[in-house]
Amino acid sequence: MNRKLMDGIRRRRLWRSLLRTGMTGAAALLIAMGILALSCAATGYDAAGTFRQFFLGPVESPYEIGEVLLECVPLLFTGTAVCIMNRCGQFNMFVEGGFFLGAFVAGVLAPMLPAGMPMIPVLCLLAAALICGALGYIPAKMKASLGVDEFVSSLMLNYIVFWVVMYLLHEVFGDPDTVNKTRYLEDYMKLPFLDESIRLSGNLLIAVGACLLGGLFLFRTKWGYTIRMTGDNPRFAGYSGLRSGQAVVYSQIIGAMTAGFGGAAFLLGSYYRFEWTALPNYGFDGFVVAIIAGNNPFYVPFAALFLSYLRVGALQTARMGSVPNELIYVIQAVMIILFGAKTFGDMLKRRGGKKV
Amino acid sequence: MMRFVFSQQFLASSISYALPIAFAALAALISKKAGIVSINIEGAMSVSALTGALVSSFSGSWVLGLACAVLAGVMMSMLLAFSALKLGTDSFLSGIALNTLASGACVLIMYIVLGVKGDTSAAPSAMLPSIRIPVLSEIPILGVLFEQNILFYAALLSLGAVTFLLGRTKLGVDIRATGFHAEAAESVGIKTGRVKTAALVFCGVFCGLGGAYLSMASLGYFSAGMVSGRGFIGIAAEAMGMGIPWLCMAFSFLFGAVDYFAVGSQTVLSAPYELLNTLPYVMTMAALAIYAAAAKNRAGRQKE
Amino acid sequence: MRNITMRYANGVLANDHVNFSLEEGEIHAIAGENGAGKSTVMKILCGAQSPTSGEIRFCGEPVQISSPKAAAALGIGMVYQHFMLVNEFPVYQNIFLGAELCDKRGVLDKKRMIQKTRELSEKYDMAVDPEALCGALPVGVAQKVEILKALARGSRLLILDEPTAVLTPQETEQLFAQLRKMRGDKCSIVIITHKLKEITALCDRVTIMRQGKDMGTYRVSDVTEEDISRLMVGSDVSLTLDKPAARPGEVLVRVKDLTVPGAGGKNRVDHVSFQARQGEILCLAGVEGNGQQQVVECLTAISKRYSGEIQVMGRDIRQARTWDVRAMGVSHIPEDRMAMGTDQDASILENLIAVCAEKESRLGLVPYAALARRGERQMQAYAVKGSLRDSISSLSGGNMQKVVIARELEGDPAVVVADQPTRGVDVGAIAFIHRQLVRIRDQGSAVILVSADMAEVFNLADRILVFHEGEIAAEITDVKRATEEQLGRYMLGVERSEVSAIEP
Repeated sequence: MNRKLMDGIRRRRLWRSLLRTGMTGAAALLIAMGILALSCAATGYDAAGTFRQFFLGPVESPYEIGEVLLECVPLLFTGTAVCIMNRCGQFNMFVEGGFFLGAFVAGVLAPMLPAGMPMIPVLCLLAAALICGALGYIPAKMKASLGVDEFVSSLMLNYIVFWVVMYLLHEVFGDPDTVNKTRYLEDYMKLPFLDESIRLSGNLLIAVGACLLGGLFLFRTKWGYTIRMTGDNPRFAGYSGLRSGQAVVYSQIIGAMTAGFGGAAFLLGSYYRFEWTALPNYGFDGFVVAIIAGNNPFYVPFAALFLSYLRVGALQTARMGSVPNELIYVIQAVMIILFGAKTFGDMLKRRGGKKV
Repeated sequence: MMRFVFSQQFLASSISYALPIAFAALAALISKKAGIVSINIEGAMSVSALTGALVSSFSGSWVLGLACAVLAGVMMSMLLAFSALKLGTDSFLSGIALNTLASGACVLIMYIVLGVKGDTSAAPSAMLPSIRIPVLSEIPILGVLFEQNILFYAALLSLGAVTFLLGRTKLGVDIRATGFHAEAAESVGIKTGRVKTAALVFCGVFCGLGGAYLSMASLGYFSAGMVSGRGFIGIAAEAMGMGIPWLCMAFSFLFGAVDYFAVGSQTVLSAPYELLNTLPYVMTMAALAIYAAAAKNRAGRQKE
Repeated sequence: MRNITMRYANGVLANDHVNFSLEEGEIHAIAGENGAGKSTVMKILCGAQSPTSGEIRFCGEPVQISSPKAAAALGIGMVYQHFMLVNEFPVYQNIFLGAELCDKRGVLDKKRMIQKTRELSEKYDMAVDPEALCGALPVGVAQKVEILKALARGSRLLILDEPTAVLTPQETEQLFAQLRKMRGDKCSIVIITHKLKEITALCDRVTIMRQGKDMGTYRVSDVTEEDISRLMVGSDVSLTLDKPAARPGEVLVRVKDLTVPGAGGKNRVDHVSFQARQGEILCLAGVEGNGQQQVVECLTAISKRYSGEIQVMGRDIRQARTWDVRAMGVSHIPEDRMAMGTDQDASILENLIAVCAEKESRLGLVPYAALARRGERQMQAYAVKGSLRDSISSLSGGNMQKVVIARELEGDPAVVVADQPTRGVDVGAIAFIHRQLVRIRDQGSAVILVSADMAEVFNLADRILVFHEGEIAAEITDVKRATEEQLGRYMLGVERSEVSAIEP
């Protein structure tokens, strides 16, 4: 069989899987439209206007586009983090708490460091990554040594982290001049804006960079290789002498670090204070992004863009007053189910799999 | 401190906090017995709570509200069944998806019906009544057990029902066989798909009861995020109860007590409320760790 | 059963026009090696699988057995080798699983079930405690429960799949006595087995299968053990390999008194000792399941459940992990390329580099470009057609195995453990793989070959250790003079020979 024929076959297979993804996405969108229509009927709002707002709103003006890109940033980080962990077959939900904590760490640390220090933002990013990585180790170690399911333990950790942060925010590190916020971030503490008018920050570039690095890590380094082989076939990894036990642990640590790093970058780039009062759900959203991207960090930007586009569209319709933006969660759920369904789109056959 | 812990109020409030967890634990128990990991308990409880609150508020009848809450729970479970058993999406993922769906749908429905997104306090639920047993309820401290919301008694009944179902009926045997060794069950002709679906129906019923308690007894309305992890704590309680129904309930009660302790002890302890709020979760993690370590120990000794 | 053919979705021809008949009140054996297709044809009979073609007649009437329930309706019951028992349930619950006795209200009637269980066990003389938990039962008793399970459903035709595989000799005798009793009761019994002694001791007739084809049905009284063994394990194709003589050198692997415990007090490996030398192909021959697998797992540090001593290159590997042993220069071609040897979701290149990714990385980066170049070379050398970036699942079984072997033989390992390297591989690839193993031997490696294939054993081995029931039944040092019949007798436990003592 000659070379050209093989290449042709491979190209066709690629097209086919792209087509499957496209069809799944289209199906999800159709369902979204259905839900939109239903909501409009229920609230009595103008359906056509709502549709237009939902699908075209995000590109109406530069400001809206800026919003899409803004919403994209957390998804890029958490999506990459989840990709790495999923590839090793680990479902560690601490991405949620880690992102939250990372933002908090940055919000607290930046004003605390002496003004003359160089590279303050970078130091905050690193600190956030380290702290979150350390915490992400807890569920990982509990799984590795004791066999405790990392899903439940990481969820518990999320709640613990949330309340501890709330305590620290209220009692310890809050800005004494205001209530429940950290100190105002001066420009030198923040990551530079690319275009402040549309709130486009440098953290977008860092985020895309994180995706690229994540992809390079998974596909070009020996640790990424071990993670992938372990996730696909742990027996094979063991028999071939790969250190799969270690991979299970460090995949979760790196995922947590990425999430923390991302949280810090998000805060320092796009906000002036840390004032979240609830877990922002970016972790679970990262899950959706990872699934759509087939657990491949290189595709995360596309998946994240897709999701944040829908997000902003939903926010727009909410602002317009017709349908609340929580609609997007319903759509997301449908997407997870469809994308994960074996009989529907089997490009992702074993990526999201875990034993029942 | 001691007076606080051993007071009537502590017992009553612990029960109140424990009931949703207990129902969640029962839900997790029955689905686990059939071999399904039901992560969507959290979301199902949320949807049930909302349904119960709205229906009871608009109809004025708590009976109707409760019934609809249970139906809502079953519906969520059926979605899980459809997704995991028919579509073939991993049950873990399906559970996560349905939880996301629930959080979005709840706000959506609240908005469509009431025009608000936070809670349904504008439409207070018809509350679930309490039953007071004379004489027995006069007993100091423990008397509180006999003056409880009907769902408390329902929980006890459910415990009995589940124990009976699993141990003494054919369906119970089928469920357990499917959970232990699905291949063996299939080989004698047990239709595992149907059995799993049946188990999920029960799971949904308990989610419904738990959710209804939250919005129709504990609090008089539905508030977004009111489940706040109790579904997952119920799953953890079940894990520690090792699938023994009464033990799962016991752990649920323990978690409930710790949950209440976190809130109620603020007047007694001078610790900040945020940190006290972490107690239930810390305890869950610690309990999971201890349980796993003990199980490993047991397994290790068995090998020798 | 006539002309039964079973072709699986992945192309494997498990049964090739097999004919089988059973008379009422007889004990009939289906004999053959692993993979001969005997389990498959019985699965068809008991409704677990549907044949691709062929017909079945029951009491003269053609029937379609589409499900286990349909088979049960005909009175056919199967006792699987891996028991279909719920360990957490008591005996009576397993016996009545799916067919529970309930009282009028739908509640389980435990008393009646326990009573019936007692009655059954008395009737068939199989003493079981109805309320004991199946998980706590010794294997022999658990098997009785399985048999009672079939009998409770009214089976008159019982199929037993390798029933004595997990039994002690005493339990085996007990089972035989019960089977004879059931035969007297006009029960018809089919036994799937590869143990000659059982066939001759217990059965009336025997059907022999080999590589999916049936080699005929005979009255046990008409044939000798030699005849049966010849039909079972003789090979059709003799692939003669022009092999230069071996020049054994130093001892590289030393195994002393290796014992691997098993279930029910029977050791899977029982005080085995041997050495493997440079430049020699040592073959651990024998029918699958006689302890070879456990030896391999211990040698490669995959399992630590053993007592005794294993030294590789002079070092005890008791504390070593899999990657340590590999670093010492031991390669392993696993017996199941799908489950252990490859990552089906990865590309050919990624599979090729599994053992050297760690070693070859500089600063953590895997040098894919350089490894790809090497991969191209390997693909060419091993005549595997395809692109490195293709998924490995696109390859045929033979080509997949070649990739595994290319990977394991790269870098001239000092010791190669080849576990059934040509199982399920086409003839052309087999010859190629054999040549590679000889090549690596001549380059000075020690090759430990595990094989159940007669032809392969004779073609490749310089020295043969025959495994039977966890022990070395024979050692053959002069392979050229050995015969297939002789080897067959050793493999099937008909004969044993003296094994040379361990050299100091």
